[in-house]
Amino acid sequence: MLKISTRKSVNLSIFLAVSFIVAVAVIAVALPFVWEQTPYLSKIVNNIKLLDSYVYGKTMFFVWTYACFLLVEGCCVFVFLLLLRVRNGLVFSETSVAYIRMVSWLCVLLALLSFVGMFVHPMTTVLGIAMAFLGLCLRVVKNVIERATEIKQENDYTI
Amino acid sequence: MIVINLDVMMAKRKISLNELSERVGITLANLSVLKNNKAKAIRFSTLEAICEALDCNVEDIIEYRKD
Repeated sequence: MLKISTRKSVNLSIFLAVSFIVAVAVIAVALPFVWEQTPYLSKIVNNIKLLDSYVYGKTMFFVWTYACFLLVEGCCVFVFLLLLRVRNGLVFSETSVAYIRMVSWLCVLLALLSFVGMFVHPMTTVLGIAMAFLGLCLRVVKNVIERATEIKQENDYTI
Repeated sequence: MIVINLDVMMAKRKISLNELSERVGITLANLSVLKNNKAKAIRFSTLEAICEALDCNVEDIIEYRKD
């Protein structure tokens, strides 16, 4: 298996995080113009009926989608900021713990939003479960990093 | 709580923080952390070096006080 240096690995992660931020932004901007050209998506959107109105259903679909985009962009930004700290050697610090905490909470919010999105497509339930699990995993990672930060601080103050 | 009486011993031996850090072999910043009771732990090797530099015993530097 190809193994690259730590610095290159972090730089690759930063590049991927930035690419993700840009890709989500591009999709968010392009969605209103291209959704009708996508047969599967336009079929789903045109069949959403809420409160006896297809127009209301379509509107809610876009509101829900852009709310998801916002949360995803938030997650990506915090991941990017965390990676910058990793690159500068500031891994075990309160700020890094705060960033991981934010990403975990954004994942939980995404999970809740996905469950709400059941009116769009039942498959969003699966997405919701996946995001909830990811949020839980990140909470555990946050706890681990928090404890490591405490141990490091204790070590730093060992003369 | 544990109290570090480094400044008391330094005054008795008339030695500055700079000179003590050079003799002990730890940085000025770390010695300052120790002197200001901000340290969380101290290595035996550091304690030994401080006692040797100040020509004193451990109890002259470290004191236990009830809260």
